[in-house]
Amino acid sequence: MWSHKSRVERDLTRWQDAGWVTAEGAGAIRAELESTRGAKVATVLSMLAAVLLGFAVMSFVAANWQDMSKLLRLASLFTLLVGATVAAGAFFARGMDGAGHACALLGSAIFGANIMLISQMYNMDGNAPDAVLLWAAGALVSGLLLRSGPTLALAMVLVCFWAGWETSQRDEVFWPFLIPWALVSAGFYWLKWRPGLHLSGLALSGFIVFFGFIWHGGHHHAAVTACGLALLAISVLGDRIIPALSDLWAAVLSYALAITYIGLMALQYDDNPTVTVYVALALATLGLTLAAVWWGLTFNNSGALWLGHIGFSIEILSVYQKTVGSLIDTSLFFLVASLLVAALAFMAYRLNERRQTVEALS
Amino acid sequence: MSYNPTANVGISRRNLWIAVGLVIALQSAALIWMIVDRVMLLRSGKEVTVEVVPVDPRDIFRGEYVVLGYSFTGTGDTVMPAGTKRGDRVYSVLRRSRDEPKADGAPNVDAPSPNGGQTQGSKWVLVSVARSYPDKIEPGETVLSGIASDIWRNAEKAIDYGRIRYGIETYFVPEGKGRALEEMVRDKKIEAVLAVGATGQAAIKALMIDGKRVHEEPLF
Repeated sequence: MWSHKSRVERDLTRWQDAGWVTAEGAGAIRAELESTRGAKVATVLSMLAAVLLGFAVMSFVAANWQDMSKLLRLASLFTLLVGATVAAGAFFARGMDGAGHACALLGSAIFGANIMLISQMYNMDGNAPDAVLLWAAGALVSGLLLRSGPTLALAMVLVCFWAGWETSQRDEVFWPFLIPWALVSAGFYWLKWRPGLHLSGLALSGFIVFFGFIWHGGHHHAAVTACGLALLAISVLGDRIIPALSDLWAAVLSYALAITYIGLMALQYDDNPTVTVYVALALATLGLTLAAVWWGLTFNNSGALWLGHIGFSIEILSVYQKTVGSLIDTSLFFLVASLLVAALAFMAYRLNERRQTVEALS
Repeated sequence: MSYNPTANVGISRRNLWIAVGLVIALQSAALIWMIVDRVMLLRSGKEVTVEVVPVDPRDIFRGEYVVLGYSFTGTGDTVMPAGTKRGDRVYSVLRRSRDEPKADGAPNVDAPSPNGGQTQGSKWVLVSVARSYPDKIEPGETVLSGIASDIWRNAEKAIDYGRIRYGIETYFVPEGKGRALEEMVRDKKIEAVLAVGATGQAAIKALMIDGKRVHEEPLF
């Protein structure tokens, strides 16, 4: 937020100097920015107040839990659930969306707590992941009906938790994960809530990566890498065919890069490849990270840029760890690494130079 | 797609309150269904008394409870139907142990007698495990449904062994009483009264110590 404000301030001064924006216009823009900031503070404070109130009520119930009859306990649980959801409605009705989302989220959290407390009260000791799935379903329904992105995010986290638990109980890929994943993701898309879509991307990437480790006893990282490459191709082609969704394609590209990279890393370090294959994979990985950096710089995709840099460093370190004293001499390794980094620096330098030329021309 | 930090746009006030009502109704319905399902089982399920054997307690995020083991749970050496995978639902046929002289097989009579003593033996043995609910059950036999866990295969004999969880392995107790109960489980003095439903699902109805019912939870 701060960086955004200072950037706008810088731009405004520049635009005003250039005569594109009048002094009144600049003043109006500043006033508008200032007012939205004030509203944000109010939103954050009301969210905190709602969360604190929720905790106060819950700890009151918890403190008196032992002395309550079963019926009174159930009544308290339902009152908490109704209270939080009605509060969400009241805040939304007054346009205090931040507090509304906080209460909606709290309501779904209470729903989960109620599931656990009821199963404890009635000694329900069945398949525990079923309870998590029920909780996720409750959060999904609430998130969709109240149009609350944060509540849908809770649903997605719970879906992942459910799938992870089920997977840990059966040693095989848990395909049913994809159904609630798709439902919650559709919800995020419907709400046009970007953080949620990132959560979906992260969850699906995790699923694909785990697939390589679990499917038929594991070591299917080649399939993961292929999947990542296919997604890379889709994102690049998608950007050409439907440029209107460029933000989506940029995000898909980042996740595809991460999947491909992890697939390649697993091929090198989870499997035990021969030296030739290992060297080929290491070179492919470094090539991928360099390509990511290039892509990030050229198309202004900071996600790809960061992934490229971090991936490059991790791969270099990993190669160093694996080869030191065995495959090649340490000094030779450093020579190769330094040449690669120098190539990268040269590329970055040239790109920057070209950009400056373009800016100077325009 | 534009960044939309709050996402709650374009919902009219009337629809908002309908949505609030629906959320409350649906979430409450799920919770009520949980309770009703369990209360029905506890009320109408066939009552079976089973002997409890000691096990070590461990659980992660729940309150005070005791861990209960049963003579028919086995130690991971239960022969499973061929092809059973971890997480599959299985049905166990139980029969009263033969070394209990009074086990004549009359169903639904194993409640304690008025003087508090046991009229029937409470030691049950596992007869067989099937992937579906058995078509025919002998008198005096009880079917419990459970979930297969820890499957391992003896390649030489081509037999799958495993352990079964019936969902009756933990029991929550009032604060401070857990330790005492656990000691008793260790001294083999405890029996559990189960309610067994038509499809084999089981719930702990009460615990019995020396033939007397303790910790019978009220339904509401």
